[in-house]
Amino acid sequence: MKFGFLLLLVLSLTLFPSGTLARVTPNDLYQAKRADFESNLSKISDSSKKETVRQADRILGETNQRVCQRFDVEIAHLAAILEEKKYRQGVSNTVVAYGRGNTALDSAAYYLNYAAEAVAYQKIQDYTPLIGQGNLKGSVNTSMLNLKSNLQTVQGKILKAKAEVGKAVESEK
Amino acid sequence: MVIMLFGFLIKGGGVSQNLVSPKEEDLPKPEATPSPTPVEFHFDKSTNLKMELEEVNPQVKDSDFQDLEKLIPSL
Repeated sequence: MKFGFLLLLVLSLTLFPSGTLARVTPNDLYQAKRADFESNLSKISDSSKKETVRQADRILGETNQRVCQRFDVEIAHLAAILEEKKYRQGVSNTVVAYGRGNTALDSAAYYLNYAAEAVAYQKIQDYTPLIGQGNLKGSVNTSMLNLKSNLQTVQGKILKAKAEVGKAVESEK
Repeated sequence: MVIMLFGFLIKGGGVSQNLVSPKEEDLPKPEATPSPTPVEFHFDKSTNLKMELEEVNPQVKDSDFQDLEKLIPSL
């Protein structure tokens, strides 16, 4: 009886694939969030507030990209310094994938890679204000504070990479 | 119970079809982010690497959020 039920279940799932089996991707979640935002925005009767929220949403995304692009320049600068140090010491390779390695150069390469990944990850973050509950000021403010906090976290990782590159520059080996 | 299970599976378990397979006309169109020109640094053996390192200064400035802070009170 139990076996029959299980067989029926497996056959059902094979023959009648349902929506529940479709994988929900991060892009699906993003699109749903944007659709909610547009829907909630259309319900705001005050047209000047509606326009202000739209502007704030745009500025949040632009600010994130602008600051991340500045961070990219700092990462490129650190990478160039590290490459020059490696060249001067005649080092052709550093291990970053599986742990921090044994030398100051290895450690610097590891933390620099970590910071670069943090910047790449930060660039794709979304700060669409959640205006569904009607508190426009609160939701835009929350998105702004989240963005600021996340950018400061990435800043901290770049500063750590800078410190490690500094140790590598000072080191003999 | 079997009929209920069949019905559940065929209907998709009540998951919003818009979430799983949104209609194309409902989706906001993506906007391409312009790619900035990559900055290149060129050093040689005379470059003072410590001085170069001092110039590395990742910042999150208050001015980055000025425009937003001006907008919020009007909401």
